This record gives sequence, C-alpha cells and structure tokens, in this order.
Amino acid sequence: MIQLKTMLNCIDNSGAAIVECVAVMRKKKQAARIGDRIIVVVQKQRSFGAESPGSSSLGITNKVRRGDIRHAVVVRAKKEIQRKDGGLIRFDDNACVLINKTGDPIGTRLTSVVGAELRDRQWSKILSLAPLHV
Amino acid sequence: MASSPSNMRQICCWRSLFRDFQNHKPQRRSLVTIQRGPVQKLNLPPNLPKQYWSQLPARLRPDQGKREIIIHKPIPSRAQTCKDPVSEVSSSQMALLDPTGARKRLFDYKNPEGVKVGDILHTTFKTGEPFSGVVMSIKSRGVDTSVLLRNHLTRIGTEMQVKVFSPLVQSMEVAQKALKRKRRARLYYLRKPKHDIGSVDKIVAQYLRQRALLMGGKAKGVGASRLRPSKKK
Repeated sequence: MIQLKTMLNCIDNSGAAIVECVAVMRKKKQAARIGDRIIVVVQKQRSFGAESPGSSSLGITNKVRRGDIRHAVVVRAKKEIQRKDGGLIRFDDNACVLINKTGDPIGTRLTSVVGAELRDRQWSKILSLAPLHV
Repeated sequence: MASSPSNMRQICCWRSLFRDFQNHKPQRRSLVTIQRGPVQKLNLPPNLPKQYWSQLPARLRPDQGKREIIIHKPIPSRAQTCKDPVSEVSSSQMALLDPTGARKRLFDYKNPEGVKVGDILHTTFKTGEPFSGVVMSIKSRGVDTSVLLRNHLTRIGTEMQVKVFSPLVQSMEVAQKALKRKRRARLYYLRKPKHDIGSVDKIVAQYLRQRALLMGGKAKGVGASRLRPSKKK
C-alpha cells in the first residue's frame, strides 16, 4: 500500500537509496501495489566507496541526485497481494526501481528479489534485470 | 326554440315506426354475454360426418369435451435427497484434487509425521520456481487448506501462502522437522528480527542432496523424482 509520503527502498544502481512517493499514477483513490507506476523524490543517495561524497559525485555511478523527481515502479510491497491461484505473496519491505518517462529502467542492475506480478504488467525489462522473482 | 318540440315529436314518431325493425336485428355478442355461463352445445345431428367438423368453431365440435387439467407432482426436494451438500461437494473436490490422499495425510494434524508449524517445507510448482520456507501457519479449511511459508530471498524476508491442494503444486516435502513442538499455532513472531530464522536455503539444499543420495545417482531432483517422496508419505 504505497501512497503519498511512503518511503521506499530503491534497489537499482541508479544512485538512489531511499525515495519518497509523491504520487501514484493512474489511480485516484487506491494505494499503489506491485507493478504500479509512481512518482518519487530521491531522499537519500547511495554512497559508492570510490566516490568522495563531498565533490561532484554525479558521475557514471550516480544518475540521480537527492531531490530529483523521478518515475518508479513498485517491485515489492509489505501489503500482501493475492495471486490468481489463491495464494498470497508478501515482502518485508517496500521497494521500487527508478524508470524514465518512457518506462525503461534508469539503473542497469537490480540487487534483490522482485515480485512476479511485474510479468502481468509487462515490466519485462525490470524482470530481466532482476536476480530473482517470486 | 318553438320548432324544437315538433321536431322531437317527429323523431319520436320515426323511432316508434322503426322499433319493429330494430328488434329484428341479429343480437350481437357484447362483453356482458361472455359471462353468461357455459356455451350451449348446438344440437347437431349425432352422426354428423367428420368432413363437416372443420367448418364448426373449435368449441362447438362434438368431440371436444372439458379440458383435462394435468396436475404435475412436485419435484422431490433436493434438501431431502442430499442432506449435507457442502461436505459432498468438498469430498468430491478432494477426490479430484488429491486422489491418493497423500497430501491430506501430510496436513492432518493428528498425524505425528505430518507438517507442523516451525517445520521447513519445500514446495515445487508445476509452473515457476520452487519455494521453501518455515511454516508459519497452517489454515485447515478442507480443500482450501493453505500454509504460510517464510524465507529470506536475497536477504529480503518473503512470505508466501500456498494452497495445499492446488493443482499447480507439484510436491510438498518436509525438509526439516521442528526440534520442539511450538507453543503457538501461528508463528507470526518470526517476523520480528529477534526471532527471524533467516534463509532456509542451506537446510533445503542439504536435504535435497541427502535425498538425492538415498534415491541414487541424481544430484538434483527434477520433476518426477521430486514428486515421489511426497506420495510415499
């Protein structure tokens, strides 16, 4: 149940670590679930070891900066979601992947598991990057 | 105004003159006549040849008597024939989904060898990847029985509820029994970091390796070999 002000983990290597949801797209009253597109603000940048945090670290590694407004796809949610076979799936955290406006992921790698509901929503590019999907 | 009485009188005269003719007019059926009892049958000659019958209206034909009204017997009530439809449907569904009864025995709470909360369960699906995890809760609801499994996938806690008798579930095996009987029916406290077991992948991998040795040869069980042990139980 991702809505305004929800803090999510960003699991790609775009440079964002924690993002905040500011809008759920194409849903008037409901909260976002796995596979939904949201708009986020980058709250915390991922600090890469080699880069020095003080200087201009916006190199190849960090494609986004703190305060950037980006589109994202929810890939994991704490709220359980029902599958077509009657089963449920629930993760321990809320996580998203940043995308650009055409729907392609900004990062090139994903670090952790994503929900298989993305397959129904045709997020095949994210699924191909993910190490695991359940 | 003076001429009108004379005119009226004239008309009255005309009416009186024509009264006889009016009476001779054939009487027409009106709404009132419809309700005047049963229609009298005509006095037809008893041996009227059949070829003339078609000229008569249906109600006047000599062969048409009173219409027999058929009263059907009520259909026997299903509630009488089938006293407990819910159990009948569920038993028929169970026979369809679990013909050997192995899965039912595995999740029977009276069975000491069956699945209990705290056990580590390895589930394979006909579609998609296998999933294994600690059994957090068992919902015993007949054909809708389900188990809640918890595991860590890439360090992310993941819970999956699986319908036990789903045709998509290929096999369910206990990889490890709980050491002690749990004092709770539902182990929701496993979500707390203090009690979290973490990933069970190592335990499951070890179990699969051991089983492969026992089964002989195959390092990693695939398809049919995975299905067999669950049926034995």
